[in-house]
Amino acid sequence: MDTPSSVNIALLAGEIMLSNGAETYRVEDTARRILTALGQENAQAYVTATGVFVSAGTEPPVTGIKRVKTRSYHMEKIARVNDLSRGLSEGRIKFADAEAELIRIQNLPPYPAILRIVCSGVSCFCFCYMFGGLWRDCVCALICGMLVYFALNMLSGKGVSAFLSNIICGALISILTLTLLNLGLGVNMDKIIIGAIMPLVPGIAMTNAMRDILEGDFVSGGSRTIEALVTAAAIATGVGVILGGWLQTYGRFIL
Amino acid sequence: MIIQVIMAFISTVAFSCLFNVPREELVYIGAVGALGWLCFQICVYSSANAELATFLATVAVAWTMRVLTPFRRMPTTVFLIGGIIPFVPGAGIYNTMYALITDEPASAVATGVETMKTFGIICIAVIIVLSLPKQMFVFKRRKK
Repeated sequence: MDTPSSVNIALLAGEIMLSNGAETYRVEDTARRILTALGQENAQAYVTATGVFVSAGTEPPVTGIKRVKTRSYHMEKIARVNDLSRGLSEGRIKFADAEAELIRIQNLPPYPAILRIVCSGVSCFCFCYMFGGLWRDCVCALICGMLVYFALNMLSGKGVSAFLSNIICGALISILTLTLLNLGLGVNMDKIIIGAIMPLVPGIAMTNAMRDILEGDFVSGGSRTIEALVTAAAIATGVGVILGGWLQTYGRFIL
Repeated sequence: MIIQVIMAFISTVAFSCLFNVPREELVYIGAVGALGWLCFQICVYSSANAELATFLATVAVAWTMRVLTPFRRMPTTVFLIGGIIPFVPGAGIYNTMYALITDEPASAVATGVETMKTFGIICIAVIIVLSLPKQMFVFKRRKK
């Protein structure tokens, strides 16, 4: 296969992986493996948290750049692209099919929104129980979790930045919790809130950050660490503004 | 404790759905999460402190993950997300924030440092297991 189209395929694969939450070193690895499998000499890939750079060939070398702006999490796409790159180098997949296959992977649908909303609620329910909440608290966490994930989905669909939507969701959690507490359904405010913020906490950003640092990609490792810290701060700000305001106004949480 | 472990299984599976993991892997992810939480509970039960319990449980999660990775032919991340989520210090974030709004800066600093410590412990535990040489985990696959 000629160099420009090989570079294009590697770029597309890299873009899919990076924009769906893969670690930097995995993207670099995959892009390089694809280029080598397609018979390119001098295969190079350089990836940061926000862009993919791929280069191949010797005289003259061909280079492509892809800027990745939006990032969501879709593990299945990562797994499929990873599998495709291995299939290419083992000869299981034909070179001609690679591009069509990549486009098919790119268009894989996520789980249905309603299922994800329910899942978010269920996981909040369980987390609340695991952290020592009563069954009544768990029900509150379930309600909060579902509504917050719904809000998160809607906000990201409207193009609101991750930072702002984390603050809004944090605030929403504490408003809901205070309401349920005063309606008499919830008992332990802390357990409900801790359960309900679990879908927002930056577990995946932190994991990716440490994988990057471990592999020696300090640029993206550092930026992802900051992402995790900023996310945590945003959640705390959102929750804190409402709770603090309530405490200032009424002096106690349960009226 | 059995209910706790079942809850850990369900929560890990449900949480992984938010990240669109491949459907065939959901059971394995749940098992990793349940195992990690079981480990944590046993450590706490035998009066280890929370830091040690988190460390040992995360090592258990990462170890299982390393074994599963070649066996299921999946990127490690798929199992890692669900496995470590019960240990991510959501409670620490909340407690720090709570101490701040109730005007107790000293306890805010203390809980804040503790939260960072927990983050650090998880990172170190995962990094240690992930940097072990690959050969230590490959024999499982050959035996199959």
